[in-house]
Amino acid sequence: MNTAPTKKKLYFNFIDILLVLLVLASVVTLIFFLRERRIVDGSSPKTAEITYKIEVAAMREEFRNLVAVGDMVMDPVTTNVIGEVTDVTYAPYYYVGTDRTTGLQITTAYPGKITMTVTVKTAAALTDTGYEIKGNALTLGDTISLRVPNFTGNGICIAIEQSASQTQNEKGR
Amino acid sequence: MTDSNVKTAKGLRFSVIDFVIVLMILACFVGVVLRYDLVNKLFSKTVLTEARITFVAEAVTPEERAVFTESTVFYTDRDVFGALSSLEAAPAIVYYENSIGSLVHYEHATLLDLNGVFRAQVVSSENGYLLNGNTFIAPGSTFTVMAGGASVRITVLRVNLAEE
Repeated sequence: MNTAPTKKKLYFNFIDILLVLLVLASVVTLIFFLRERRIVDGSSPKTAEITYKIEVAAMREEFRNLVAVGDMVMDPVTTNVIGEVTDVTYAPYYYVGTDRTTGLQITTAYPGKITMTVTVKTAAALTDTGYEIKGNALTLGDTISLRVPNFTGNGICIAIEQSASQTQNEKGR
Repeated sequence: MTDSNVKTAKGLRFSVIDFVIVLMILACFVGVVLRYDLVNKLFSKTVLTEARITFVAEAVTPEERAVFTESTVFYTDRDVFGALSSLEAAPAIVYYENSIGSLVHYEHATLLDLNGVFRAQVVSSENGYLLNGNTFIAPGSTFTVMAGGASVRITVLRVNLAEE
Protein backbone atom coordinates (compact mmCIF):
# COMPACT_ATOMS: atom_id res chain seq x y z
CA MET A 1 0.00 0.00 0.00
CA ASN A 2 1.47 3.23 -1.00
CA THR A 3 0.96 6.19 1.20
CA ALA A 4 1.16 9.65 -0.22
CA PRO A 5 4.02 11.65 1.30
CA THR A 6 2.68 14.03 3.90
CA LYS A 7 3.49 17.64 3.34
CA LYS A 8 5.43 19.03 6.22
CA LYS A 9 3.61 22.01 7.60
CA LEU A 10 5.61 25.11 8.46
CA TYR A 11 4.57 26.30 11.89
CA PHE A 12 5.22 29.93 12.52
CA ASN A 13 4.54 30.70 16.15
CA PHE A 14 4.78 33.67 18.50
CA ILE A 15 8.41 33.00 19.48
CA ASP A 16 9.47 33.06 15.82
CA ILE A 17 7.73 36.41 15.38
CA LEU A 18 9.61 37.75 18.43
CA LEU A 19 12.93 36.52 17.08
CA VAL A 20 12.35 38.08 13.68
CA LEU A 21 11.42 41.40 15.35
CA LEU A 22 14.55 41.17 17.50
CA VAL A 23 16.76 40.60 14.48
CA LEU A 24 15.13 43.51 12.64
CA ALA A 25 15.61 45.79 15.65
CA SER A 26 19.27 44.78 15.92
CA VAL A 27 19.88 45.54 12.26
CA VAL A 28 18.20 48.95 12.54
CA THR A 29 20.21 49.74 15.69
CA LEU A 30 23.45 48.73 13.99
CA ILE A 31 22.71 50.92 10.98
CA PHE A 32 21.81 53.85 13.25
CA PHE A 33 24.97 53.35 15.32
CA LEU A 34 27.20 53.19 12.27
CA ARG A 35 25.63 56.29 10.75
CA GLU A 36 25.85 58.27 14.00
CA ARG A 37 29.52 57.36 14.41
CA ARG A 38 30.00 58.24 10.76
CA ILE A 39 31.50 54.86 10.02
CA VAL A 40 29.00 54.51 7.21
CA ASP A 41 28.33 57.80 5.62
CA GLY A 42 27.64 58.56 2.03
CA SER A 43 29.43 61.87 2.16
CA SER A 44 32.99 62.14 3.42
CA PRO A 45 33.56 65.43 5.29
CA LYS A 46 36.13 67.87 4.04
CA THR A 47 39.12 68.22 6.31
CA ALA A 48 41.73 70.87 6.70
CA GLU A 49 44.74 71.49 8.87
CA ILE A 50 44.05 74.22 11.39
CA THR A 51 45.90 75.87 14.21
CA TYR A 52 44.03 77.17 17.21
CA LYS A 53 45.13 79.01 20.33
CA ILE A 54 44.09 78.24 23.88
CA GLU A 55 44.57 80.95 26.48
CA VAL A 56 44.94 79.71 30.04
CA ALA A 57 44.49 82.77 32.21
CA ALA A 58 45.42 83.23 35.87
CA MET A 59 47.67 80.18 35.83
CA ARG A 60 50.02 79.58 38.75
CA GLU A 61 53.61 80.67 38.06
CA GLU A 62 54.79 77.19 39.14
CA PHE A 63 53.24 75.71 35.98
CA ARG A 64 55.46 77.70 33.62
CA ASN A 65 57.41 75.53 31.12
CA LEU A 66 55.38 72.38 31.78
CA VAL A 67 53.80 72.50 28.32
CA ALA A 68 56.37 71.81 25.61
CA VAL A 69 56.37 72.17 21.83
CA GLY A 70 55.64 68.74 20.38
CA ASP A 71 53.40 67.62 23.25
CA MET A 72 50.29 65.79 22.09
CA VAL A 73 47.16 67.46 23.44
CA MET A 74 44.42 65.12 24.66
CA ASP A 75 40.82 65.76 25.61
CA PRO A 76 40.72 64.73 29.31
CA VAL A 77 37.19 63.33 28.98
CA THR A 78 37.36 61.32 25.76
CA THR A 79 41.21 60.91 25.75
CA ASN A 80 41.11 61.67 22.03
CA VAL A 81 44.20 63.42 20.71
CA ILE A 82 43.06 66.91 19.66
CA GLY A 83 46.32 68.25 18.32
CA GLU A 84 50.01 68.88 18.74
CA VAL A 85 51.54 71.86 20.52
CA THR A 86 53.47 74.10 18.12
CA ASP A 87 54.08 77.15 20.33
CA VAL A 88 53.76 78.24 23.96
CA THR A 89 53.96 81.84 25.18
CA TYR A 90 53.63 83.45 28.58
CA ALA A 91 52.54 86.88 29.73
CA PRO A 92 51.78 88.48 33.08
CA TYR A 93 48.20 88.09 34.24
CA TYR A 94 46.71 91.51 34.88
CA TYR A 95 43.98 92.56 37.27
CA VAL A 96 41.94 95.55 36.15
CA GLY A 97 40.64 97.74 38.97
CA THR A 98 39.00 101.15 39.13
CA ASP A 99 40.33 104.24 40.86
CA ARG A 100 37.30 105.36 42.81
CA THR A 101 38.41 108.98 42.92
CA THR A 102 39.12 109.48 39.24
CA GLY A 103 37.15 106.62 37.68
CA LEU A 104 40.21 105.52 35.69
CA GLN A 105 40.98 101.83 35.16
CA ILE A 106 44.16 100.70 36.89
CA THR A 107 46.00 97.59 35.70
CA THR A 108 48.05 95.56 38.18
CA ALA A 109 50.08 92.43 37.47
CA TYR A 110 48.57 89.69 39.66
CA PRO A 111 51.33 88.30 41.89
CA GLY A 112 52.10 84.63 41.29
CA LYS A 113 49.77 84.31 38.28
CA ILE A 114 50.53 84.31 34.57
CA THR A 115 48.67 83.83 31.30
CA MET A 116 49.77 80.99 29.03
CA THR A 117 48.82 80.81 25.36
CA VAL A 118 49.20 77.41 23.70
CA THR A 119 49.10 77.07 19.90
CA VAL A 120 47.85 73.67 18.72
CA LYS A 121 47.94 72.19 15.23
CA THR A 122 45.47 69.52 14.13
CA ALA A 123 43.34 68.17 11.31
CA ALA A 124 39.72 69.25 11.58
CA ALA A 125 36.56 68.49 9.67
CA LEU A 126 34.99 71.45 7.92
CA THR A 127 31.32 71.87 8.75
CA ASP A 128 28.64 74.37 7.84
CA THR A 129 29.22 76.23 11.12
CA GLY A 130 32.98 75.94 11.39
CA TYR A 131 35.26 73.15 12.49
CA GLU A 132 35.03 69.82 14.25
CA ILE A 133 37.79 67.87 15.93
CA LYS A 134 37.03 64.18 16.52
CA GLY A 135 33.31 64.92 16.42
CA ASN A 136 33.41 67.90 18.78
CA ALA A 137 32.76 71.39 17.48
CA LEU A 138 35.53 73.96 17.92
CA THR A 139 34.28 77.52 18.34
CA LEU A 140 35.90 80.79 19.35
CA GLY A 141 35.24 81.43 23.01
CA ASP A 142 34.80 77.75 23.86
CA THR A 143 36.29 76.49 27.10
CA ILE A 144 38.77 73.79 26.22
CA SER A 145 40.16 71.30 28.69
CA LEU A 146 43.84 70.87 27.97
CA ARG A 147 45.82 67.78 28.88
CA VAL A 148 49.46 67.15 28.01
CA PRO A 149 51.76 64.68 29.78
CA ASN A 150 52.99 67.21 32.37
CA PHE A 151 50.08 69.62 32.75
CA THR A 152 46.30 69.83 32.75
CA GLY A 153 44.06 72.88 32.88
CA ASN A 154 41.24 74.81 31.24
CA GLY A 155 41.52 77.64 28.74
CA ILE A 156 39.54 79.63 26.21
CA CYS A 157 39.86 79.22 22.44
CA ILE A 158 40.91 82.69 21.30
CA ALA A 159 41.96 82.08 17.69
CA ILE A 160 41.41 79.57 14.88
CA GLU A 161 43.36 79.67 11.64
CA GLN A 162 42.95 77.35 8.69
CA SER A 163 46.30 76.56 7.10
CA ALA A 164 45.14 75.53 3.61
CA SER A 165 43.09 78.50 2.50
CA GLN A 166 44.67 81.06 4.86
CA THR A 167 41.22 81.82 6.24
CA GLN A 168 41.60 83.59 9.56
CA ASN A 169 39.09 83.86 12.38
CA GLU A 170 40.28 85.75 15.43
CA LYS A 171 38.37 86.94 18.39
CA GLY A 172 39.43 90.59 18.37
CA ARG A 173 43.13 89.82 18.45
CA MET B 1 3.75 -5.10 2.88
CA THR B 2 4.63 -2.66 5.57
CA ASP B 3 7.49 -0.42 5.15
CA SER B 4 10.54 -1.70 6.86
CA ASN B 5 11.56 0.23 9.82
CA VAL B 6 13.71 2.89 8.52
CA LYS B 7 15.87 4.33 11.13
CA THR B 8 16.08 7.94 10.42
CA ALA B 9 18.89 9.67 12.19
CA LYS B 10 17.65 12.55 14.15
CA GLY B 11 19.96 15.12 12.66
CA LEU B 12 20.88 18.38 14.33
CA ARG B 13 19.50 21.03 12.08
CA PHE B 14 21.12 24.42 12.40
CA SER B 15 19.02 27.17 10.94
CA VAL B 16 19.72 30.81 10.12
CA ILE B 17 17.82 31.97 13.22
CA ASP B 18 20.04 29.80 15.44
CA PHE B 19 23.13 31.30 13.79
CA VAL B 20 21.86 34.83 14.43
CA ILE B 21 21.13 34.00 18.08
CA VAL B 22 24.65 32.63 18.58
CA LEU B 23 26.11 35.77 16.95
CA MET B 24 24.10 38.01 19.24
CA ILE B 25 25.18 36.10 22.35
CA LEU B 26 28.82 36.40 21.23
CA ALA B 27 28.30 40.12 20.62
CA CYS B 28 27.00 40.48 24.19
CA PHE B 29 30.12 38.83 25.59
CA VAL B 30 32.36 41.06 23.46
CA GLY B 31 30.40 44.11 24.64
CA VAL B 32 30.89 43.19 28.30
CA VAL B 33 34.62 42.65 27.76
CA LEU B 34 35.01 45.99 26.00
CA ARG B 35 32.79 47.88 28.45
CA TYR B 36 34.76 46.80 31.52
CA ASP B 37 38.13 46.84 29.76
CA LEU B 38 38.68 43.28 30.87
CA VAL B 39 41.46 42.67 28.36
CA ASN B 40 43.64 45.37 29.93
CA LYS B 41 42.78 44.29 33.45
CA LEU B 42 43.59 40.66 32.79
CA PHE B 43 46.63 41.00 30.59
CA SER B 44 48.15 44.38 31.31
CA LYS B 45 51.52 44.50 32.93
CA THR B 46 51.08 47.93 34.53
CA VAL B 47 52.89 48.31 37.79
CA LEU B 48 51.89 50.66 40.59
CA THR B 49 54.78 52.78 41.82
CA GLU B 50 54.95 55.08 44.81
CA ALA B 51 54.95 58.77 43.94
CA ARG B 52 55.17 62.04 45.83
CA ILE B 53 52.30 64.40 45.00
CA THR B 54 53.12 67.99 45.94
CA PHE B 55 49.96 70.02 46.44
CA VAL B 56 48.50 73.31 47.62
CA ALA B 57 45.16 73.90 49.33
CA GLU B 58 44.06 77.51 49.61
CA ALA B 59 41.85 79.26 52.14
CA VAL B 60 41.39 76.28 54.43
CA THR B 61 39.71 76.66 57.82
CA PRO B 62 41.61 75.72 61.02
CA GLU B 63 39.19 72.82 61.55
CA GLU B 64 40.02 71.43 58.12
CA ARG B 65 43.72 71.97 58.71
CA ALA B 66 43.50 69.87 61.87
CA VAL B 67 42.62 66.82 59.75
CA PHE B 68 45.92 67.09 57.85
CA THR B 69 48.12 65.02 60.15
CA GLU B 70 51.08 62.98 58.98
CA SER B 71 50.22 59.50 57.66
CA THR B 72 46.48 60.22 57.51
CA VAL B 73 45.01 58.52 54.46
CA PHE B 74 42.84 60.74 52.28
CA TYR B 75 40.21 59.57 49.84
CA THR B 76 38.52 60.89 46.71
CA ASP B 77 34.92 59.98 45.98
CA ARG B 78 36.03 56.87 44.12
CA ASP B 79 39.29 55.63 45.62
CA VAL B 80 42.19 56.14 47.98
CA PHE B 81 44.13 59.29 47.10
CA GLY B 82 47.17 58.88 49.29
CA ALA B 83 48.71 59.31 52.72
CA LEU B 84 49.93 62.70 53.90
CA SER B 85 53.69 62.79 54.08
CA SER B 86 54.45 66.39 55.05
CA LEU B 87 52.62 69.68 55.50
CA GLU B 88 53.31 73.38 55.98
CA ALA B 89 50.57 75.81 56.88
CA ALA B 90 50.68 79.57 56.57
CA PRO B 91 48.08 82.33 56.81
CA ALA B 92 46.10 82.55 53.59
CA ILE B 93 47.15 85.41 51.33
CA VAL B 94 44.09 87.33 50.20
CA TYR B 95 44.12 89.94 47.46
CA TYR B 96 41.72 92.85 47.29
CA GLU B 97 41.32 96.06 45.32
CA ASN B 98 42.14 99.25 47.23
CA SER B 99 40.57 102.67 46.75
CA ILE B 100 42.85 103.59 43.86
CA GLY B 101 42.16 100.35 42.00
CA SER B 102 45.45 98.59 42.74
CA LEU B 103 45.70 95.03 43.94
CA VAL B 104 47.04 94.66 47.45
CA HIS B 105 47.31 91.64 49.70
CA TYR B 106 46.97 90.83 53.33
CA GLU B 107 47.18 87.75 55.52
CA HIS B 108 43.77 86.41 56.46
CA ALA B 109 43.15 86.30 60.18
CA THR B 110 41.87 82.71 60.28
CA LEU B 111 42.08 80.99 56.89
CA LEU B 112 45.21 79.05 55.97
CA ASP B 113 47.08 78.04 52.82
CA LEU B 114 48.45 74.50 53.02
CA ASN B 115 51.46 73.23 51.08
CA GLY B 116 52.31 69.56 51.44
CA VAL B 117 53.13 66.21 49.95
CA PHE B 118 51.05 63.05 49.64
CA ARG B 119 52.45 59.57 49.06
CA ALA B 120 50.33 57.86 46.44
CA GLN B 121 50.40 54.96 44.00
CA VAL B 122 50.65 55.79 40.30
CA VAL B 123 51.23 54.06 37.01
CA SER B 124 53.68 55.70 34.60
CA SER B 125 52.60 55.90 30.99
CA GLU B 126 53.86 57.73 27.92
CA ASN B 127 50.98 60.18 28.37
CA GLY B 128 51.74 60.96 32.00
CA TYR B 129 50.89 59.48 35.39
CA LEU B 130 47.71 57.64 36.32
CA LEU B 131 46.72 57.75 39.99
CA ASN B 132 45.93 54.18 41.12
CA GLY B 133 46.33 53.23 37.48
CA ASN B 134 43.05 54.83 36.42
CA THR B 135 42.95 58.63 36.97
CA PHE B 136 45.19 61.07 35.12
CA ILE B 137 47.22 63.24 37.48
CA ALA B 138 49.59 66.05 36.55
CA PRO B 139 50.43 69.58 37.72
CA GLY B 140 47.22 71.55 37.44
CA SER B 141 44.95 68.63 38.35
CA THR B 142 42.48 69.38 41.11
CA PHE B 143 41.04 66.83 43.50
CA THR B 144 38.63 66.95 46.40
CA VAL B 145 40.24 64.86 49.11
CA MET B 146 38.40 63.72 52.20
CA ALA B 147 39.33 62.48 55.64
CA GLY B 148 38.11 62.90 59.21
CA GLY B 149 34.89 64.57 58.12
CA ALA B 150 36.68 67.25 56.10
CA SER B 151 36.57 67.74 52.36
CA VAL B 152 39.25 69.97 50.86
CA ARG B 153 40.02 70.99 47.29
CA ILE B 154 43.70 70.60 46.42
CA THR B 155 45.72 71.58 43.35
CA VAL B 156 48.59 69.35 42.28
CA LEU B 157 51.86 71.24 41.82
CA ARG B 158 54.27 68.38 41.09
CA VAL B 159 54.28 64.62 40.63
CA ASN B 160 57.56 62.82 41.29
CA LEU B 161 58.26 59.14 41.52
CA ALA B 162 59.54 58.18 44.95
CA GLU B 163 62.85 56.89 43.59
CA GLU B 164 63.64 60.19 41.80
